[in-house]
Amino acid sequence: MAKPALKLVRPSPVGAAPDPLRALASRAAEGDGDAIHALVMELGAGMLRTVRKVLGAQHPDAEDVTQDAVMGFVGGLARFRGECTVAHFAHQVALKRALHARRHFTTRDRVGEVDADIEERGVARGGSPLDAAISRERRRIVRELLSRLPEPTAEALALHFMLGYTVEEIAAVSEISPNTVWSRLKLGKRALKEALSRDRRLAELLREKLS
Amino acid sequence: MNDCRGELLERVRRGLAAERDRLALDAHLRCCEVCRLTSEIAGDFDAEGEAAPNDAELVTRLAARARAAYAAQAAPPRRFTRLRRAAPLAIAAMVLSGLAAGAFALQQRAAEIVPPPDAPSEAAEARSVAQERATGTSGRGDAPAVEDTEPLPQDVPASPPQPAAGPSEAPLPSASALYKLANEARRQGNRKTAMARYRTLQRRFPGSPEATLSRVSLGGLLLDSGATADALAQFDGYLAGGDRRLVPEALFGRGRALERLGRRAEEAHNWQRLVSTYPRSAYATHAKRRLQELQ
Repeated sequence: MAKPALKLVRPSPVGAAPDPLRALASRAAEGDGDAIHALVMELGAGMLRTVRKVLGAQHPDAEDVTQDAVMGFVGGLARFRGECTVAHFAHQVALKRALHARRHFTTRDRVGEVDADIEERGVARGGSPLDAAISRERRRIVRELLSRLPEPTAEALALHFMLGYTVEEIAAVSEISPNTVWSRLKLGKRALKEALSRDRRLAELLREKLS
Repeated sequence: MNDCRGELLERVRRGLAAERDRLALDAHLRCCEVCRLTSEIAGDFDAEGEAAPNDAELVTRLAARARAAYAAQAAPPRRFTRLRRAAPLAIAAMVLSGLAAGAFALQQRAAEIVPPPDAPSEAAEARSVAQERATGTSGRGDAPAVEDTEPLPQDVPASPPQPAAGPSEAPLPSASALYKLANEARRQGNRKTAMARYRTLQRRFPGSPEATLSRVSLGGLLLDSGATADALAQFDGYLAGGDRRLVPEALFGRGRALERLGRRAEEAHNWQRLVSTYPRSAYATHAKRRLQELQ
């Protein structure tokens, strides 16, 4: 199939609407304490969710990593050139910090433990325990793959799957062309498809579902 | 491995798609393995974006630490491990700022998810700010009467016509401009100003979409300020209208208001409605937990 036309949701300043947080971010970049506080209150929850998506919903290090990301975000505001919205910038910083942290965790088994809560949620919202287990396996495979892929590819894939960014939004926050994003996503999805097809546990679960 | 209908999938994922788009996507997913896989994995991770009950407090801590680290120091710490050693200072800042933030962050998130339906242009906003400065009002209910009789700008949506009585040339802020000003005040932590602007919006443009949406934001602020009954009235007002965009947020606020008022039966019914109608919303986990506690 042909690639879709890249005409959708473009982050500011490309889009028509001005970024509502830009002025606040400028003040925060100058060290205005109230502005820093207000900006983190506005974006902190989203950054926390981003970190949780990468690490796992109740990962014990989620707060630390988010704090690290918040510091990186506030510290990076002075260099922020407005290629994307302030919110996109914040989420990208959170994603990068979380991916980096995940690559450096030595106790990776801790990540697996905390997915139980998500599985329960899956069951509670109407899915079967088997569906929840399949979902958990897929998340595990995606996370493991993100730790192995080259960082630019992993970042593009995570922005797409975890944060739901369009190709153009990824291009804006990463300051690369949409074609480059397409290439990275293509590579990443191919690797993901291979990883999913090779995984024995997932294959067993899928067989069980079909039977 | 092309993502052939990725744009459609993202619209559906963000809740921006019309019903026909959903049907088109469903049909496409039945025949496209790549998009089906993308959709499934996206759904897997969307489940992890749910808010937890203590998120508001956590975000308040993050904000206090960031302020303490960057506003007070010329050279910020490079890593959080250093910052943690300054935890007493951060905690003190947090205590001073109060725990009243409550679900403020969640409320803000609602505004982030659903932008103003008719965001004003910069020029319109500038006009509204100029008007506000010229009249010396901050949108408070005690605004000069002349303001209520001045002609409205043309970009005011769905607002009743009002007679022109004053000689002033400055146009009255439109509903969308007022809504934006109120949201900005809220984001900047100027809660009193934000509440006053939301009230002005509701008084002047009672039938506008912005006034309807503002009920959820004002309800959240009132709830945080302790005006629980007023907050409940705001949430009820929103839910009684026809707008559906912030229903999960309104139900979340309403539930917390009912909890504080001790109206347990109504609270349980409210959470049940949230869970059954919006099982994938960010508030479903909190609702389920409260339902268990109420049993």
